[in-house]
Amino acid sequence: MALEQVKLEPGLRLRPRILIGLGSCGLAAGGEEVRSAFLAALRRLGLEAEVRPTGCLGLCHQEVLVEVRLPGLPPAFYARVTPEKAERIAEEHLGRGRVVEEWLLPGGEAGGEFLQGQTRICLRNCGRIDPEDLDEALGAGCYLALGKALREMKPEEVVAEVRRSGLRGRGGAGFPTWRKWEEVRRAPGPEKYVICNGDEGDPGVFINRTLLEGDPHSVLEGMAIAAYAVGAATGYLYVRTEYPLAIRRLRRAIEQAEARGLLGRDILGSGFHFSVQVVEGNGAFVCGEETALIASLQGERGVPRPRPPYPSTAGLWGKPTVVNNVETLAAVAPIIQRGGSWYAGFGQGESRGTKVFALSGEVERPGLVEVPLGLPLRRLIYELGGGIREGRSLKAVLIGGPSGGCLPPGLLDTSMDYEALERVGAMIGSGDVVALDERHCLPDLARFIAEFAAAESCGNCLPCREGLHQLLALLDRIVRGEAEEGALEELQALAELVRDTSLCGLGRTAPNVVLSTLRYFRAEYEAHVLEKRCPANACPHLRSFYIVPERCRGCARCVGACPRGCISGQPGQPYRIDSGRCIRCGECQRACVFGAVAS
Amino acid sequence: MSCCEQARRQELEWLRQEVSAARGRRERLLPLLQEVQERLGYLPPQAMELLAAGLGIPLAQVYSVATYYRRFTLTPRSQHVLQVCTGTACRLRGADQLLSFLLQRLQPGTKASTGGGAGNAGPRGGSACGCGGRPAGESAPPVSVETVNCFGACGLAPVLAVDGRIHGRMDAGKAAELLEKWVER
Repeated sequence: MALEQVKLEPGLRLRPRILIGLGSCGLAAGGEEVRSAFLAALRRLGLEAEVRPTGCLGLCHQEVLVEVRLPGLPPAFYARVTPEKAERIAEEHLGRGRVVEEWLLPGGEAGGEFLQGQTRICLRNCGRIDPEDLDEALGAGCYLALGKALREMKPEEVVAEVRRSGLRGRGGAGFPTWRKWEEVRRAPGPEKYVICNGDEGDPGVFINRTLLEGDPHSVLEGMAIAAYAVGAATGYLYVRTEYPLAIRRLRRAIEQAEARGLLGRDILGSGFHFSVQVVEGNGAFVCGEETALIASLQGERGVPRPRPPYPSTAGLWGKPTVVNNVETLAAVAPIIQRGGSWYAGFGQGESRGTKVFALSGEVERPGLVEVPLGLPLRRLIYELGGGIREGRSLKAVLIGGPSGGCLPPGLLDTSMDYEALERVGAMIGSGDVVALDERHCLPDLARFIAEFAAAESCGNCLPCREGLHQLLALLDRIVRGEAEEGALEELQALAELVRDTSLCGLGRTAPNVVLSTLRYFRAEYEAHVLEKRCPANACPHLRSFYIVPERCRGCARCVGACPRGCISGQPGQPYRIDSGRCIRCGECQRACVFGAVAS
Repeated sequence: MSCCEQARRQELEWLRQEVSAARGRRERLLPLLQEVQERLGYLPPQAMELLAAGLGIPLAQVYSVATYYRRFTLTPRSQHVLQVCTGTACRLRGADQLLSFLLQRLQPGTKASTGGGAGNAGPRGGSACGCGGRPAGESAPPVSVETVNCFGACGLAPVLAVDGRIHGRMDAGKAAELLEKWVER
């Protein structure tokens, strides 16, 4: 069967449609309730419209996001919809054809700067189609590239096209995708595998989740093209267990694609077979490392092993295996369809194409954005992210999560590409960009990252297993004001040792946050060590609380709140805190309604 | 025998059949462990013994795999599981305060445990009485508070999952409402 014969549902675009953002973000913001409200309102008003779920448009801060399309009219996006708003939108917009202007997404149809400033290649369909319906994916052009590859291209031509595109692994390491493919293609033997790595474990990143929930077919198509290029008949899609919705939608997408001959046996009548299985992770961060992931697929403890041999020579069951990240594979179909040189037209230097970044932390508009590699960090934070919340000032940007680095505002003009970021001690990593304002303490952030990495270390190699715990203990002493002179030199030396001697990427990159904060924010560490002071006033052990007598009305609320019973005084008179017994929990400050407890 | 023990016996019967179909295929170990965890809410020793014998793996290795991954528990889990995301974004936006609020309200004097993933926190077990197929005598606290690394809903930080359902833009007040609605009934 040729692709042209795969029938589209007629009249798909002729009915009024309501698309509701029902990715994890939308659901967390109350999307199900909004859907029920729309359905009830339509029933009550006797109106006919299709109510469909869609994935995430990347505007997490505006969820629940609802798109209303009336035939022949441009779509309207409503932001932060609640069940009550849904009712009125149904009445006004669908019933009377009147757009409820005041609830529209700021910036109009295209979502203002947030969407207009992007180049959406991987995210092309996210938030635009119903991810649970193959017809919608086909209507958006899915599987055309697979058809083209199977009919018009030899496997080596597919690899060559990907080579021309300059596509590099989007999971963190940035290894050229075509080289992995070429090695597996040339490897002898009939048994080869394609693994899609969806074990997105970095805290602060949700790119794979959005792609898998919002556009599963594009990832599956990328896998099938990779399989054709390397000669694999079996693929595994490894998804972390924290993403139950993604897992459900993927399984459904595979069923639908197999039923129409787009996956499985004899795809599109070409004689090429490829079947995909979704495998659920088990909550181990280190399984994002490719050799650990493979061990986990084989039913073992997910422990990394030394490389080489790389999976491209000895992977799953010892056979040649391609392991690619979800985002990498989502870029494959457009590259095949529009050509590698088109894709390479975006980006700069050795960093070609686009990259999805997850903006979070203290930016005004957290969410997902896709931009050409090489965009200055400043534009990411200020144009796309809308700057820092509540008019505060930017203190640092953590790029690349627990394996990345922390940059000061002075480096805002760094361009977001693999090489430039490495030069300043950060890395693209999986693409998370977390903004911090002046209220956050960087030694404390480093402590948090060390705690995370120490907990996730698999324990296989000594530097990571023991070194990270020692780093954590040292950072603990620093943020408690218990570290002595020389602690920073010790910290630096230990971090370098762990970085240089660990077996896998986890241990090798975990000290980056410590090293980069030491490099750019040394004064803040010194204040903790030498002056026993936290300049951000964030470390609980270094804060001291006192009552401002002029503001205190003697209401005794703080006395009730204090778990240590160390606040004393007479009702109606200013109270006082016994700082010797105070544990600096801050409960009194939270309890005071007059703002009389200062720290 | 309580209704729950009966339920567990039925579950193990199911596992026996699954195992005989997967004889000698080691890669079936994790999917089967996942399913046992899902159905019973934990991995009882009998289930691990069955798997070891059926798949031809030493019991020590089954145990080693089961204890390596965060998803599995060897003791029954609580009927209600609250998971506070402590990913970077949630932490910056108040996850610690949320966590101490929940602990204070629900389990004074205890610390949070690090738990599994969202898929792991649905209503427990297959038995109708809601006790999760737990044998008589073994009991878990009715509510447990856990931390998870990241749900990937960072734009809505801080995030709290109640029995696997994620709620965004949380604070103590909203969390209290959720507790009243779902947990403390």
